[in-house]
Amino acid sequence: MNYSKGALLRYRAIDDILTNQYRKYPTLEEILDHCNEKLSADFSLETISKDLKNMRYPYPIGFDAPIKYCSFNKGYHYTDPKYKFTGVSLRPQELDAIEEALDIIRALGGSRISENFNHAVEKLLSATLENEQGKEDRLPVLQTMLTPPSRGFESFDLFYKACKERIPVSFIHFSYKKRQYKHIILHPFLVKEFENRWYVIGYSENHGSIRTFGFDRITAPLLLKKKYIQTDLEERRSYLNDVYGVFPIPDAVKEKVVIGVSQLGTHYFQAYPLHESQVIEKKNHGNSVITYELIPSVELARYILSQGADVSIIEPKWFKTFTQNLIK
Amino acid sequence: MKNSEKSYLATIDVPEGQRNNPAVLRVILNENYTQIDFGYVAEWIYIRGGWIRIAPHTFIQVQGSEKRYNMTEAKNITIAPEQHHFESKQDWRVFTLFFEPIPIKDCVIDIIEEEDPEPTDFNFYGIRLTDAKGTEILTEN
Repeated sequence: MNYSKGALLRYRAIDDILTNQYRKYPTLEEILDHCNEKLSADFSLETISKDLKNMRYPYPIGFDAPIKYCSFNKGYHYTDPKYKFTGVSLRPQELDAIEEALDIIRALGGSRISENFNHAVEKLLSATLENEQGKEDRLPVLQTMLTPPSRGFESFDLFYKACKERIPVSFIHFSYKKRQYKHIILHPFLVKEFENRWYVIGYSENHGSIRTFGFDRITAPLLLKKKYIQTDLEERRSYLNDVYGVFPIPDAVKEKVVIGVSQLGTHYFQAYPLHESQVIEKKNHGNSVITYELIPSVELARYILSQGADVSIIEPKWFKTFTQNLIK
Repeated sequence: MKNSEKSYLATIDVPEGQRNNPAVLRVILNENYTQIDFGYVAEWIYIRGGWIRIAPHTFIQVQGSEKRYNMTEAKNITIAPEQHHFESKQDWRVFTLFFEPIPIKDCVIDIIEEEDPEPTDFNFYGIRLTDAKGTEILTEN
């Protein structure tokens, strides 16, 4: 059963009062007052009554809470004094796993993930609040690169939905290089992050082919009630797996790319492979020839350039020329 | 996009010779309003890219009719006499004008900022709208 954040907070409030040693056997009205006071709300008796029922449901539907009404003391109580309400119907080891996962999610940073995902995380955080208490002074032991919110990221949810539900999107695109606007109608299939920038990839009606658009250059996207143009599965798979980066060089196809790497550079390529197809052939002195099977992209060319004298392109020749032309 | 009634994305055709800065990018038709999206790039001839604004009396006219459809709202552009000053010659800005609703049908429209225009005024003539009810816009929820 899915519980809303509000319901979970009420359950926690109910647990509070049921475990309060100074206020044993609270009546339904007292539980209601406590919930309303604690959560600054105006719940009804019916809601609280339903909450008690939901809490009693066995795991995993409910929380297996041994709540009973004691007719002698005229109030509610836990029949098992050792019962511990966790907020989510999880076993202790599962809660530990969630705590670890939450650490990672926090490290990834909420701003990088969609609004809905943030809500889900909030829900988990509220549910594990008890376990978190007393840990305010704990510094994280995991940190990843965090970037400030970027222009266009607010469209993440829309594009994600469009990809998932196959809905064409209309938006205005501005090309930094050409300083030109275009009204694009895209049939998107992939939202992709690369080096902390977000992109949407799909079939562009304007171009008659698959195109990539940076979120930062997109304005006012709108979902359209229009037949979705399905892109060939192999082509989509290729975009997912065969490209380093997001902008394949126009008309480029998957092919063998061979680079020569210095002794020093070889250590880094060994440690951080650029692509899953990477094969390193080490030479006697520690330098290497590295081979990839991928679609050459602008990002690959830029990466090679950024390595300076440590990396040179051996083949294909056209890619070598393309890369050299980038700095002319 | 304002949220009321059904909205349609019209196909637009801006005749050659019309000003392309700002560019007319998208026209959305709705029974309660007409929305036009424009894109402007700061001009090299002006220091720091210059400025833009839109006259409050801007209107649309459907060719073949005398009726004027007045501007009701401007988004991301200041209404004259206020000006939006760019910071550099590289700046760019998408802005939207809302007008009283024109009929949702294929037609040719003029967008008039000034009836006696200077070259810098945002006047456009002969914008052809087709497939007026062809593509409905979905609300996000």
